[in-house]
Amino acid sequence: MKKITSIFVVFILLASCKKESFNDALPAVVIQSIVPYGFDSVIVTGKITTAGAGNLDYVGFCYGSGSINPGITLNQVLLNGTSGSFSAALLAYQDSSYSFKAFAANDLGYSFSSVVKYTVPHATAVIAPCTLINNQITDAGSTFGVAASGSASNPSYGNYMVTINGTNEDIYISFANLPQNGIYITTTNGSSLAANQVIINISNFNQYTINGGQKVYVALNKNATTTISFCSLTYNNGVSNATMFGETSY
Amino acid sequence: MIKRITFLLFLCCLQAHAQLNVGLQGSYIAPLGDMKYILKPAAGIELKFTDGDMDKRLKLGFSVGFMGFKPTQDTFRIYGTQSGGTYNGLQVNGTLLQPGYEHIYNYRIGYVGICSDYKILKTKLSPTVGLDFYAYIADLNEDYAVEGQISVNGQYENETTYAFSIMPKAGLSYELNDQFLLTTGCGRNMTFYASESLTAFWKTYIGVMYYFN
Repeated sequence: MKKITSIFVVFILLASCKKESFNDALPAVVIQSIVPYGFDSVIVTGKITTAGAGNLDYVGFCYGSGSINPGITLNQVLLNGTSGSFSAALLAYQDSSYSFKAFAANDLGYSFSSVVKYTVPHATAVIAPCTLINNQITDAGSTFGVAASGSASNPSYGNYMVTINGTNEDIYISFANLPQNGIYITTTNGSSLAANQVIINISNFNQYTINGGQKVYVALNKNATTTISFCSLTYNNGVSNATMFGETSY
Repeated sequence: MIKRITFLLFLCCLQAHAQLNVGLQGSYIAPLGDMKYILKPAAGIELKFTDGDMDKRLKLGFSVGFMGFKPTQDTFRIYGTQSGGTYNGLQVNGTLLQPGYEHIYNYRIGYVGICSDYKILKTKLSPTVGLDFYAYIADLNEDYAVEGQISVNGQYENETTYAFSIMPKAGLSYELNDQFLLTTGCGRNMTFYASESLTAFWKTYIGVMYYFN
């Protein structure tokens, strides 16, 4: 009888292995962080916490505005599969709320992270990190007082232009949109201004364009004025490289 | 088809019961590979026939069997991809991952096999090793859909596939008396032709053979 029992015991032991579920086969993914990026974007970072079974074919994000549970095809950003962290810059405007989900797909199927709601904060006001006098500009060693104004009517480039009028020269700063708090980067190509780019033209007896890749600081003040400042903008005046710095409010 | 084969073999057995011994084996089938996440472990039933005496150390025979699997869940989330073109009226730039689903209703496998078992010791209770060869016919019933590619109402599919496998195994046998032999053990089924995922599984079995003296 003991031997018969042992036969059954061996069978039961062999048969009592761990049962797998389909979820064990799918990758597990979480949203690790969401941080503001530039003037109209956030960088969302996801992380694969469990690879699941098979190869990770795709990872990505989907999102929409407001408190929603976004479907996988809504504003989808698809990336190649990776077993670690992955990031993407997603279009998201300041002071607006969005719901984000990360997803990951392997040979068997796909899975989502939980929904993360995020409100893009208003960027903080920034002033150029150098000592400047408001409404005064120094260009090529010559210092002069200025008065500025902003308008969306007939900008040279983009959709908004700040005009700075000086004694002997005018300066035109073109923005893609209404200026926001933050640091803008100069470009020499005004035909395709990004949200964080400006093109600056100087008009005196000649026309010059500030070189690309330099910083311009914008602060929206509590008294509803806007301050634009810059420490050292260089351009070629046809003879040599000239430098301009200054600050103005309007 | 399998039922007919089984019935014919059973008739053959009755005709030749003086030469062939008959047995019944139950098994616990645990799928392997990707299928272990999709199919629940299943019970299998097998009719076995061997020749020779019970105390013969190498036993050869053949078997017919059946196993029926159920899915681990009702609906599986699957996906498709689309490169270019339009989706919901919008231009697809790059590749778009599209959601879908799959329902598996059942997955049934019928098989015939050639079996060999070697009794290691001459005692009544002995460890055994063996190698089986199986030919499978698998029948999968499912429907599935992928947004933008296959109708969301789903596409029903009844797929029949074939596979050939070997199964090395090890276990125990116990001679209960002159007529009955109890066996148990475990084997790993390995497909060498057709899709590996269809018939890769661990098989834990327990059975009884009746010997016509």
